[in-house]
Amino acid sequence: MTMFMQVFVSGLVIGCVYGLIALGYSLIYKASGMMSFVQGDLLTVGAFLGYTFYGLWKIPVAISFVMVFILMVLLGFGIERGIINRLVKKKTLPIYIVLATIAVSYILQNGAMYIWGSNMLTFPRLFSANSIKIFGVGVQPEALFCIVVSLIAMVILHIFMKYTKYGTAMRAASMDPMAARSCGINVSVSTGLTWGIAAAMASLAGMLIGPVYGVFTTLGATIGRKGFSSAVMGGYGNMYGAIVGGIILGLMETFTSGYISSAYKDLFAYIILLLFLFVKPTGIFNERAIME
Amino acid sequence: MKNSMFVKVATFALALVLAFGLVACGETPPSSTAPAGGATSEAGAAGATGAEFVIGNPQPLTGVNAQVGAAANKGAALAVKIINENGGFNGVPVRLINYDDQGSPEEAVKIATKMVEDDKVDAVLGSLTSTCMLAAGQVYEDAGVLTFGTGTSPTWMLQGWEYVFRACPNNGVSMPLLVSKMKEMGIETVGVFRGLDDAAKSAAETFVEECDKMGVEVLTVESYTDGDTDYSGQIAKIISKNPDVVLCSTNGPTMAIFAKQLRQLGYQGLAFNREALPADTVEVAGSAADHWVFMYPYITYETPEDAFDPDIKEFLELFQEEYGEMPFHDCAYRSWDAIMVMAEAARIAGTNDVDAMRDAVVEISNFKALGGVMDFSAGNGEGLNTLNSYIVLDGKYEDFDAWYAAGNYEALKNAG
Repeated sequence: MTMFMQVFVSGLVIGCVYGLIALGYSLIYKASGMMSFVQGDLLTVGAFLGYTFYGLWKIPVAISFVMVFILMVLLGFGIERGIINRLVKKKTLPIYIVLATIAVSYILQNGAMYIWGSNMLTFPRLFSANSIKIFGVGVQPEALFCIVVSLIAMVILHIFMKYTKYGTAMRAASMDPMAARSCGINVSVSTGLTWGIAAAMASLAGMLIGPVYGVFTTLGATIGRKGFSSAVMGGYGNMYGAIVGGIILGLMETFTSGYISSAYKDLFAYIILLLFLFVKPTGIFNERAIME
Repeated sequence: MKNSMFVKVATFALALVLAFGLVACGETPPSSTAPAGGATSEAGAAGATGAEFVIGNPQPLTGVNAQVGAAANKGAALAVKIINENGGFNGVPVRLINYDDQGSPEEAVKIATKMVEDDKVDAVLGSLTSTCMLAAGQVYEDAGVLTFGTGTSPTWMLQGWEYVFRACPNNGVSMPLLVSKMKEMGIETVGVFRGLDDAAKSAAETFVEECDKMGVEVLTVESYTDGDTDYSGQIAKIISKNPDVVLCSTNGPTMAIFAKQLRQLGYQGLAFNREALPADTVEVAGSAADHWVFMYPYITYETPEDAFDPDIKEFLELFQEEYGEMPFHDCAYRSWDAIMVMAEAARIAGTNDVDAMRDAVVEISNFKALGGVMDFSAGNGEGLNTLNSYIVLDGKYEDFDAWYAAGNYEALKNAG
């Protein structure tokens, strides 16, 4: 029973990390109809910025988080305005836009190495306690915080996208930009802001897992890929689906490695992803955006 | 229309190349077959003319082992600097050409071919990635290039190559010693966590074989994929088997994360690592690194004053003076030692002729290096055959044998 609970709680924690990344993917897709592969490396940049403000410059943690959040909104906004939007205006094929996000991903990864070096850095603890017992299982407080933040982010983003004027404007801008413009919506700012929020979500995940994993240039590479898979499983573009997909993938990985085979856990995880693509491409939450 | 599309694609590709090139101006380049660290391609012919002794240095400068590769390069560059300040190899200046093999065997072979055919290197240092050494070693052997690999896997040194040597630890030696140590301590069962790369995998396999021979039961062998950050499933399985100790055979940043998760999930016993725990790993792991044991020739330190060995202390002072930091990984020692063994071979040979230097390496039997006394007289290409035992306590490296002799292992077991 102890092993089951250990695997379950651990799966929940890593699943929520995937979910936070998946939220960014879904948000971008929902609000701009585009696909990005840059979320994982934005997580890395966020973790490095958090390390710089909180760990290096000793700025209080709350202020550090806000500073990183603002900088990452600007970075995401800048990526959209400076690269993605320009390619869209040139009527570039969608596949090239996806490739551009992959290029940005590598530039961010190598850029982080240039700025912060290739050594693993220690992100200071956010909480004084080393471990908290949940159902008899020891969990780092930062990991639990990650679960709470993921769930809150999921609800807030869903409400923001569905029930607020700005969220509605973002979705309108994605569905029919011309009609949205005729209604007075600033499509450019709306789309840029979406990328900014997605970048901030990734940075939040980076700052939360920094104390758990340390900070290094490839921190977000695999997490980014798995976040993408989570978004697909949950229903690409659905906020609840992002978190649920993340948790399913996290649980699947940890249970596979705990009870079946640690060497082939990715094999099982990605076979399930393929099954979703073939059998239920709209994901668990039947996200219709995929069908459209 | 087609032309217009071609121009767009070409422009996009050019933009990417420029962007990567811009980044490459920094610490490490992403391009593998272009020399790293500002070296230029006209370096090539110098090796053949004898005006310079050129050493090619392929290391992983991007990817999961980038930080280790950077440490290796610093150690090598410092050794070359010191050698050149003291007259080079037999009065000939030594030059290092760095490459990024990305830890990829395919890249390693491409780079090896380029170094041999274009750069005309006299010798090669690296790679620390054993799979790269295994892939590229034949190229160096066929070309008759004096080569010192810095990876620790036994596999690439078992190929019968005559020009390939190693002046750093061999896991094939360290694993039997480690199991022997466990047996002496009365350890009966062990759980293994390992990576899937050649060095980590082969070390774990050697460990399991030795356990079979010596009667230590391996309860489970769990593995992970490079890039993973969550090992809780594997750890839960290891803990559920209730082993006396855990052996970890990993690479890159995995060790620190594994150590933290291992302790968080409740394992408080002794854990063994296949090689030294780097200083940054101990720092990131924090208290989770306590009671980790390893057998290795050398360790990394926070300050030069912490070092027991006067040679290592002197090296660390030089390193700190040159780079303003301490080496965070022992690969800096490995590179330094390999270059210094080359220098000793050149001194013994009295010439920089590669064949004469190769013959001279085998004559080295009592050369004091950072890793200990180098002895290549066995003729198997291996120079380092002794190891020290260390344990991490309160973030510091301590003498494991002294700790064990004081009865601390029994106390730890009883406390658990």
